[in-house]
Amino acid sequence: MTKEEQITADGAIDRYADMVYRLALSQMKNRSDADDLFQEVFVRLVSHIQELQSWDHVKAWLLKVTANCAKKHFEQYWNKNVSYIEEPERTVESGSSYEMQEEHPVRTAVRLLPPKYRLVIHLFYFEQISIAEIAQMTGQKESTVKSQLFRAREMLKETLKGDPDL
Amino acid sequence: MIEQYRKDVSQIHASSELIQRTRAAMKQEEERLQEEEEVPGRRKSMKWDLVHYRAGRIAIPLVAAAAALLLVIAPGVIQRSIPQADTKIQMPGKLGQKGENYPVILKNGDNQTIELTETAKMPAEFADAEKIEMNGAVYYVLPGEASGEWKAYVEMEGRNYLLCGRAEEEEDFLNRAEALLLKQ
Repeated sequence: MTKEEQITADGAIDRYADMVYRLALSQMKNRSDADDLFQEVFVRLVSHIQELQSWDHVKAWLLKVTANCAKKHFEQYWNKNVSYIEEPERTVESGSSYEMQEEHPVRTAVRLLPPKYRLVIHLFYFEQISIAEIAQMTGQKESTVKSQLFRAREMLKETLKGDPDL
Repeated sequence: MIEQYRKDVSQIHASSELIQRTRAAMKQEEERLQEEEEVPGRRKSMKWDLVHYRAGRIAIPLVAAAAALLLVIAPGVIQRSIPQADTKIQMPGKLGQKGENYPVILKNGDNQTIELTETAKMPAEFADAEKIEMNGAVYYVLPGEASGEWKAYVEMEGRNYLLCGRAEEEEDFLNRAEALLLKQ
């Protein structure tokens, strides 16, 4: 393996920072939780990097651990019972975790989905992970993942119906 | 719609400040792991190691045997303790406004059946089931014992129903279940 191909935690953050951050943000209720989740995932990677044999393996590991850590976060009592008031993302904030001008209605609609539906929508449509891989990652049957995708699309259609741009 | 979602999300990037903070945390973690391996005096005496080794040789097989025994006994104990009415689909006598007998069987061309029975209340097993709302009704859905089998509980017009049957997909099962219920 060449130096460039060596699997290192530092190399992983170079390659997959955006991927992990996007998934973390899609799952968490606010940006600071997404930042914490991002950091937790890469810190965990340090103790597991030796087990991972290829960059594909690293990518799958990162997605799986991000999804699992987000799920554990929601299962904690505090997070079940506390709602955050999310500030509308209307302005570009310098120095924030990410910069974005205005959230499109589609992304808002996805954000309003239940966490398990948000997850499959993001993994299937944005990361283009197959249903079989999503099922393996989340420990569910393929039929359940398909069902979740179907329901999520129905909910999105319901939320977004009547929008002339869509 | 999905294309717009992809376009939107692709604009999100982790900031350099967050990445820098994370690298620092990763470095701390690496140092902590190295210290755990290298710190002298962490290793107990050889005699302690030997005692632990011998205890492990006995303890591990004992624990494995106990776990195997528990796996064999537990299902029987649990099954006897659960009231049968909660877990088995009831086959009542005359029910319904017209006094029709249940179960009602719906067959499609592929000979896949859905069984419908009326029940007094939701069985305990459905407490953790997936909840799916469809056309105003809430279905509690669980996969069946075998692949392709499904079961559901639904409350409709003041009555409680249990459905079970085979289908390739959950949504197919629910669509046929709904069709059956609407005939009641």
